[in-house]
Parts: sequence; structure tokens; C-alpha cells
Amino acid sequence: MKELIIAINLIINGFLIGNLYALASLGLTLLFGIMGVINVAHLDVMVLCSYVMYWLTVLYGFNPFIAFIITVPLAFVIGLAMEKILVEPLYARARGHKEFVRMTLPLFFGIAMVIRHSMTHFWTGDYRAITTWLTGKCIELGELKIPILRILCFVVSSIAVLSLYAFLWKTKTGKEIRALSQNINAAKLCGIKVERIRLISFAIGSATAGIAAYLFALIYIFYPAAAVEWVPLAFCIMVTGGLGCVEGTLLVGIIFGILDAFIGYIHSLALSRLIIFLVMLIVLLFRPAGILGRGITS
Amino acid sequence: MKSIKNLSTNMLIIIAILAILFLVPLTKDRFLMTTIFTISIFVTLAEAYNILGGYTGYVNFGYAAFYGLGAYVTGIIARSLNISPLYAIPIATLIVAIASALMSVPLLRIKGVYFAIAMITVNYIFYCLVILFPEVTGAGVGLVLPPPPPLELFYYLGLIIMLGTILFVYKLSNSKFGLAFKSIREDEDAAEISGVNTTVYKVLAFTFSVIPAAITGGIIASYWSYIDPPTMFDIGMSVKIILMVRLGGPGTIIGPIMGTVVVQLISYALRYTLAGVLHKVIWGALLAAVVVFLPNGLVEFIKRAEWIPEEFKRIIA
Repeated sequence: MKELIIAINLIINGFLIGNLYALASLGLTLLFGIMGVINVAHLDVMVLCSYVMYWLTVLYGFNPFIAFIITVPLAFVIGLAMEKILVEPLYARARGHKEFVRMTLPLFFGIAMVIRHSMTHFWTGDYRAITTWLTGKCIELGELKIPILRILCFVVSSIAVLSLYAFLWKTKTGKEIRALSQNINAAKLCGIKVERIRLISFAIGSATAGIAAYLFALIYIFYPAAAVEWVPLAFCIMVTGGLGCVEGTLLVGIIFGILDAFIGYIHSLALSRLIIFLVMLIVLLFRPAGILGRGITS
Repeated sequence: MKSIKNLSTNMLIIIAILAILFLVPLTKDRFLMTTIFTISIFVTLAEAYNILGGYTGYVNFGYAAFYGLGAYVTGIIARSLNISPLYAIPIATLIVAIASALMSVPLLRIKGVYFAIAMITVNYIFYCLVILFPEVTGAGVGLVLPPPPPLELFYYLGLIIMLGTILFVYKLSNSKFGLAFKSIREDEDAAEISGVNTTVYKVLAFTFSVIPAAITGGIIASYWSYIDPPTMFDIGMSVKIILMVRLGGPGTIIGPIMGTVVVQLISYALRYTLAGVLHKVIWGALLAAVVVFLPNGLVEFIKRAEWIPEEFKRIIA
């Protein structure tokens, strides 16, 4: 009986934290799926936004629960700047789409280093955490304990994923973005302003880092190099879920969350990550479009 | 006639540089020796990375994982047989070579940027494996090895490995292997149709490029006499090697050497002039700038630039 309760607890907690995993990888997936940009710096933007939240809370007594009205626009603007300053020149210089995709990886590794080490320089490598009146509080249902912040995690990421889905499938801009992800030349021929769409999609992808940062800062302890731990996981979710596939990312994020919770409890987090990495390699080998992907493979 | 004359000037320059390098330990300057030793290690890594990343066109973001694997296998063998790590390097290299050849068969089926992502994952898989077997690997605590032999030995070892690797890559690039590698880089399907057994050549390129990494890993393990997972399986290390090769010029012999020397010298200069981690910020910016503004590296830049005298260009090429 006790084992059963532990198992249910683990599943619920894993499910809830899996939403954050999915949210953190969402921007990566979108940018790779739409533009072929592997934005390794995405998670560093997330950590940067967490720091902004931290300083707002600590220095200016800002309420952390409404901090997202600052972090999300901030991440959006960072996205705009990155696209204008880095991606467009690269796009103009690269010979063909394939080479462009190949070059984005080292480019954003460089940018990730710039963000990460600037944070270390300015704010030291100390561990930070935002403590609110909700930290450590649980909803108790009999034997089950569900941390409130993780429920917030589920709510926020559900809203984010649903609105993104609605944006991509219901609006005209969303339609243009999807057209761009399928075929750039055909999209150009249809009169879509490709540069503008690239700018918008990059900024939106980056803005999801701001939303993820909101949850990340409230739940986890963070430090400038925190992204290093998240990059491989986010890559795995991106590849396994399928590029540009919002629902796949959510599903895989949740599965990996439950896996982490379960195997982390039974054995260790290292084993669970090892399994996740092997799963990703197998998916890459046999189903490169991802488990729910619609076949964007090159 | 002119080409022979040029060749001889080139040879003279190379011999002069080598003579200076081999005489450096006479100065007993430990700083100079350590600097050159580090550079020679990185030249080895960059040049060997070049086989797969430059000539064959498979960008390997988990390259440092094999350097780490070499270090760990060396360390484990040295500890279990109770011998000096330097003697364990040949066996370790053999083991890593066989393991990587086996691994590369499925991995190399993954193409383009996905290969890069897969290799990043391989790096973390090694990391997790080290963490998961604490009795053998020491997990996060690391592995302490016997104290290292004198620096002079490492200095010469580094130089010999570096020269061997450069010579090996030079011979390789001018052989039919090199031709096959380049044909895979240009168009893999076309190479396959023209009768190049792409699978075999890709596995060969992978293994050839991993072997020097394993050897240098073993040397570094012995030199530091302590290894731990975060430093041995560091993506930053792979990125540094990629920066060196990209800056110099992938798919050339002189490129990775130039790239390494430039990056190392800049990195030394920055480390002593800037406080804290600022040098890493500049380093990241440099990588980004190289990708955007110098996509084909310094070698190509020098060949194209008009203000550089022809004589100098001929020496480089």
C-alpha cells in the first residue's frame, strides 16, 4: 500500500515537473522546426530571465508571481535582437539552408558562453533561490502530497502551450510561420515576408524562455551555468518530440519528467538521464522526425 | 625549379621551428614548457578532429568525450594494474579505438546537424556512465593517479604526438583515404554511387580522428594525475577544439595549427589581462564572430586577401 502511494506521488510529481521540461524545450523545438536554428543559448536566456526575476524580487521587493510581465517581454526583446544581429547576417552569408543550419550550432554555443560567463562575472557563481510564501507548501490529499508550485507549473505551461498552439494554427501569422517551416521558397512565392516571419518566430521562441524562467526560478535553485545541465535534456526532448511539434514536445517532456521522478527515486538521476539519452539516440536512428513529428528531417 | 626552391624554404622554416621547439627544455623555463605542451596537446586534438570534422564534413560536438574516455580508460587500467598511467596509454588507446569504431557504425548513419546533436548526447552518456560506476571510476570524486614524471618528459611526448598526428593527417589527406573523405564531405550520395564504400570510410575517419584524442587524454590524465567527470567530459572542450579548427580553416593541414596557436595565445593574453571569467566571454564572442564573418577560416582569408604578399601565401599553402 505504501509503495502504491509513493508510486502515485512520483507519477503526479513527475507529470507536473515534466510540464516545465516541455516548456523549457519548447522554444528550442520551435526555432529548429521553423527556421533550422539550433538555439543553444535558449536555456541561458532562461537563466538570465531567472536572474532578472531574482533581482527584481530581492532588490526592489517585486512580487515574483507577477514578474512574468517583465521576464517574458525581456526574453522577447532578446530574441528580436539575436535574430537581427546574428541570424540575419548568417543567413545572408551561408550558402544554402543546410550550411546555415550547421553554422547556427557553433554560433549559438558562442552566444551561450557570452551570456553564461557575463552572468558569472557580474553576479558571481553563487547559488540563488527565490523563496515565496508558496515555497515548500503542499496540497495534501490524504497520503498524497502535491507541491503547489508544481501545480502552478502545470497551469502555466498548459496555458503557454495551448496559446502557442492556437497562435500557430488559428492566426494568419501562425499560418505563415508554418508555411515557412515547410518550404522557404514556396513561402516567398506566396508573398510571405520571410524576414518578418523569421523575426517574429525567433522572438516568440525566445519569449517561451521567459515563461519557463518564471517557473524555473520559483522551483529550482539556479546559478549562471545552470543551463549546462538543461541543454542535453532539452535537446533530447526536442529530438524525441519531433521538431516544431508542440504536442510532441509536451508529451515527451511529461514522459521524461515521470521517468526522472521514478528512476531518480529507485536508483539515481544519472541512470534516468542515461536512459533518456539512449532513447534519443534510438529515436534519431529509427525515427528522425520524432515520435509525433510530421517529417521535417533535414 | 621554382617549386623545389619553395619547398626547400618551407622545409627550412619547418626544421628551424622544430629545432627551436626541441631545444626549449634547455631554458628550464617551466612556464614556457607548459605553454608549449598545452599548445601541442591542442594542436594534436584539433588536427585529429579535422579528419572527421574538416575532411569528412561530420561536425563532432562530442569530440572531447573520446579524450575523456581515453583519460578514464588509462586511469582505470593504471590503477587496477598498479602501473604508471603512461604505460597504460597504448592499451587504453586500443580499447577506445575499438569501442569508437563499433559505436560509430550506428552513429554515422545520423547525418548533418543531427549527428552533432547525437555526439553531444554521447558526451553526456559517457558522463552518466562514469557517475553510475563509482567503484571503478570514482564517480564525482574523481580518480587520483600516481604522481607524474618530470615535465620535460611530457614536453617531448606532447611534441612527438603532435608531429606524428600532423604527419599522419598530411599523409592521410593526400592518400586515397583523403580523397574518399573529401568526396563524402562534398556529396555523400554521389560518393556512394561512384563506388566509395561510404560506411567503411566514415568509420575509418571516425576511428582515425578518435585515436589521437584517446592518446592525448591518457597523457593529460597522467600529467594532471587527477581526473574528474566535469573536466574530462566537457562540451566546452569540444567547442574550443571546433573554434580552433574553424578559425584556422577546416579541411587543411596548416589551418588547425594556426587556429590553435591563435586561440591559445589570445586565451593566455586575456587570462592575464582580464579578471575572472571575462576572458571566456570574449572567447564566446570570438567563436560567434568567426562563424559569421570568417566561415572558411584564416587559411581561406589569407588566400583571398590581396594585401598579403604572394611569398607568404605560398608558404601557408
